[in-house]
Amino acid sequence: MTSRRDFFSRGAGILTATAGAVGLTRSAAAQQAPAQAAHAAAKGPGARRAPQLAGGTAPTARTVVPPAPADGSYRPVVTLNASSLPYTISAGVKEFRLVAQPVKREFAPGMVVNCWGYNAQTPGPTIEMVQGERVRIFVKNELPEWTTVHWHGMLVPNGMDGVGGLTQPQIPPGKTGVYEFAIDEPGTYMYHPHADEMVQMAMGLMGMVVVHPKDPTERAIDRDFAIMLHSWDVKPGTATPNVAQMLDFDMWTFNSRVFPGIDPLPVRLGDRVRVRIGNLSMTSHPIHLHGYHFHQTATDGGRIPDSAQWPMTTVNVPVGATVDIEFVADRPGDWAFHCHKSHHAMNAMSHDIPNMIGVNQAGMDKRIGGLVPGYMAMGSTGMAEMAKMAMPLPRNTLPMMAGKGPFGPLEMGGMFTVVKVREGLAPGDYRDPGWYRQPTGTAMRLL
Amino acid sequence: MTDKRKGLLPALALLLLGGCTAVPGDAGFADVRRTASARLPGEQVQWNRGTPDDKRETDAVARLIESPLAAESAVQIALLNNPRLQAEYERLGVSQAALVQAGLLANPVFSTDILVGDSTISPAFGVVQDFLAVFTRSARQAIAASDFDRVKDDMVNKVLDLAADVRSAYYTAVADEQEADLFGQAVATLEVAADTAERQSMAGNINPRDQTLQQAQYAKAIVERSRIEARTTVDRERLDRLLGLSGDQTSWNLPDRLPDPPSSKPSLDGLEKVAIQRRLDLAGARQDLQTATYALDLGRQLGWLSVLGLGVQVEKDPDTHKWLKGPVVELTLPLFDQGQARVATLEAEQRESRKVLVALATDARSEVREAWARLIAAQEAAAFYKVTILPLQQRVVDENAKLASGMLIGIYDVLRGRQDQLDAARDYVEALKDYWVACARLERAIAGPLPATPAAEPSKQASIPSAGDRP
Ligand SMILES: [Cu+2]
Repeated sequence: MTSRRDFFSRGAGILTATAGAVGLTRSAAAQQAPAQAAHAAAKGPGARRAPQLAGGTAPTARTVVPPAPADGSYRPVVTLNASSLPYTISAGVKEFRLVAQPVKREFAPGMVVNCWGYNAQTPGPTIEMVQGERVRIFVKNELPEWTTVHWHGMLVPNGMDGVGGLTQPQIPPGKTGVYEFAIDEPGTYMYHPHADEMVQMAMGLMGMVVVHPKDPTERAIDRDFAIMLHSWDVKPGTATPNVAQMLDFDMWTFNSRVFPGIDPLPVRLGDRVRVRIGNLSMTSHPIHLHGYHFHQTATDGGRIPDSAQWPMTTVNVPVGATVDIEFVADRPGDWAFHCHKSHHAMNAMSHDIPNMIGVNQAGMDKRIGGLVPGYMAMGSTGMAEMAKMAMPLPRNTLPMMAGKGPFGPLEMGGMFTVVKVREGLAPGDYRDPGWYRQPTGTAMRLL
Repeated sequence: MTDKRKGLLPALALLLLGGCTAVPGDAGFADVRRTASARLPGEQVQWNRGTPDDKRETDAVARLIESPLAAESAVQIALLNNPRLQAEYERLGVSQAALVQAGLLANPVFSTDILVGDSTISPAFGVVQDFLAVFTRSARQAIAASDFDRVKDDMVNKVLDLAADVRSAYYTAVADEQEADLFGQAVATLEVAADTAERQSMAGNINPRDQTLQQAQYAKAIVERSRIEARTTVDRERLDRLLGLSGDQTSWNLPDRLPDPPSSKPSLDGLEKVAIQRRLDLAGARQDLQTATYALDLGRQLGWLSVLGLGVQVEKDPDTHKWLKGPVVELTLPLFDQGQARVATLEAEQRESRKVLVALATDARSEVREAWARLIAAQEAAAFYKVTILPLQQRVVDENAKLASGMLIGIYDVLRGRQDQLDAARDYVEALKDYWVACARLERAIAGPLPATPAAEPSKQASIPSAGDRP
């Protein structure tokens, strides 16, 4: 960034030089001019310090288990590495307060991104309500530009649909807009801006809405998780998403976190488990769970009749939709849970580097090391070396593959976490139970 | 009358004897050495005249070329060994002989005539001395002395010219060798890139076009390297000529790098004045004006006189057979040439000398300003490279290494970053060369060292990383 001061001080040097050249100054000044110009230039890029703005710090994004409502009307959803939005009751109406604002989000330790979100986080806190109850949602705009909130998949009156210009005027910076409605159909929904949508979603403005059935015994569940999928273009060494990106994303997130920064899903053996997955990225994600055959029980269009469900191991979550999956956690273990597009389970990587697989690089290390100190020839045998060594990376950049498991490097990133099924977890205990200990004789052995 | 006649001969003899002056052995070289040494502190100025002393100079040259040449040793070798300079010194002898000549009187002219009558023979003998020469002797000596001083000024000027040429050639040679070395490193990076592409091709990982592009870049760099290396040969030969070296003596080495410029910058204040006081070409022109002034004074004194012969004549009286003695006067009659043209010429010559002096002084002042401006520009450029550009390039290389560690960029980008860094390093060396050559020029323009120049710090050059600088 060029400050006014920089501009004028450099401009002065150029002016003096020019004046000398066209004879506006006396010869003595002309003598000094080239030197002054060089001097002014010497104060240029070197003298200005690079501001240490990239990334910065952000609170660690912990999973906050919301308190159960006093009336026991529903079992709260656990939004991984995020939380649910608190509410108040005013004359029988449940009131929520959303604040749209710039936030710093730690994607994983070592990388903080300059995002936009709600109530200091991205995704925004999950809004939980009960079927048929009246809710009022205040949306305060602390963004530098106007915004709206669209209630994705929710059957609201047209005037509450949140499409800027079509169903409402946009909410200007500093102003608050109020939405009010009651949702008749329980399910998993999303909220996101419908104003400068491309930019605002690319920056992380989005969240989930869960409408619980009026009857808490209907579709009763023991553990209910919520995960929002998203993709980002935060180039290595930078901290701000490139909002103009359409295809070449490099960060793939569960709730704006990447592995190894994503909390596991701790589950008690025998629990009935639901995972609600929303997708506001620009590509679909085939989410795969190891160790189970599960059913997709709902979309954001409603419950899928039992007769229409089929067993599956991978569910494709389309763009702009939610998917609920359910299973009974009857198989103990540490079960991987991830997007099956392999690049989506990686962190920062380049898609345009010379292909070195199978290239004989014998002796190259030494030759290149003599020319470019510290260079290490890699890639001949694959990229696993990456996960084994910790080498200096550009600032605010996570290694492409990371994570440590009980048996070594986990070599994962992005949309990856673990469902940890254990005997004897207390209800409501979502703490990480550690690594699974495989019973003797049930594990792979090396010959 | 008789008394006067008696006094004439001894007076004549005295004049003639007085003209015999001894030729001093060093032909004024001591003056040349004194002035030149003051302008080139630390340097020995010697005139090799085929004496056993010459051996000392040969030994000194041999010693100086043993270790990597410093700029001062290169200048020293040239001063001791440059054959053209030594040839120039011989002109001192020629000029001094002219000075001696000016002190000598023309030899007297002896005449005789014998008149033969009917019965008598009357012989006459005369000795006539050109008396104008006697009267003008001191004036002519002053003119010749002034000319001699002029030759000595010229000589010191030649010494300073040589020293400046040697320094420019020296800095150019060191810089070009350093640049050739840096370019060699760049070629090595291109070679690695070409080899990598070839290996990728063998593994089926690169298309023929991309591989060929790498080979083509490498090939282009090879021929450029020859061109750059040839430049260093030209530089060495220029120094060989200036230093008067040949045969085994040409195996001297240069240091690896140019020293850093000092941190402080010279002020232009007073430099023009220093130049006017010190410059030998100006001193020479002043001497010319002096000479022209002496010549004009003499011309005016003589007026129309061009011949004034005085002498004695002895003649035998044919009647009395006695020897008669009497004075002889030979005189120019100003009937036609009254000397106006000669005086006008001398006046014009004096005016010319004055104007030449003014022109030289004007040029000298301008040269000082120009050389100073070049020096400052080069000094600032070199500092900018050191403080800003090279660190920026280093950061690019460092960040490239990090990106490569994350497999975010590949080998070709890494090598290209290093090539850019080496390019910047060569530009830096070029800026250093500009600085040192400008320094030699400025010191030449003011005919001596800059007032209170802080010593250069050779050890603190910005580091241009090379193999193994970092783990
Ligand atoms: Cu995916």
